[in-house]
Amino acid sequence: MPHQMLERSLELTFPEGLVGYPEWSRFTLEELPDGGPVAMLQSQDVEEISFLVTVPRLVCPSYAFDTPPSVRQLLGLSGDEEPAALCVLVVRQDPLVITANLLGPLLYNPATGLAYQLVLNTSTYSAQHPVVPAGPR
Amino acid sequence: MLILSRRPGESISIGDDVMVTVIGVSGDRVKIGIEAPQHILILREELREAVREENRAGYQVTPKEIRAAIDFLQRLLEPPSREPTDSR
Repeated sequence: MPHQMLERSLELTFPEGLVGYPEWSRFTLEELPDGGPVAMLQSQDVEEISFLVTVPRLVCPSYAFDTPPSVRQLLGLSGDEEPAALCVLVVRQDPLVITANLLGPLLYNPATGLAYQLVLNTSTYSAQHPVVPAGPR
Repeated sequence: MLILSRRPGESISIGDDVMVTVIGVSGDRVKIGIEAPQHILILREELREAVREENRAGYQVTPKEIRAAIDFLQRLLEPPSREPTDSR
């Protein structure tokens, strides 16, 4: 199942921080109780900083991108290894809308915990991809 | 900010490795060519800004938002009968 792709309590280090926030570098990817496909990316530096994340292909089954060689190197990927990917979820209220940032995926190497937020050089994917639940609400 | 005037066909070099060339000008659009080593990521700034803005919008989550996200995403796992995909 897709939600099992989320690692349990994995420490992720973003050597270059997140886009726009270079000082946010140390996080823990944590499962949520009954969280299913949703996990929490919790800052290790500032308790108040945490993101909701999920696996991009859950919200966009055709999701695909190329990882630049420099990013592969930063993550310590060898050969044809591909990074794992997460996307940040943003919840907006009134009306309730949830969007997934597919333009800026969080890539990581599960073996090393090294991570990098890539900005895709494309207009194919939106930073605010709407998450639409299946079935009636 | 350093500001330089260039005509189409003229270039600016940045360091030893990067060259920016004005290819052409048409109305309010400027076509720019960039030569740079592969390890330098080149992006339209608005894409980077869009990602930065979502990081800003998403970094503080409340229990209510967690509940809403789980509720929405859990439904995506239920039918239709789609084979699970991996995370890449």
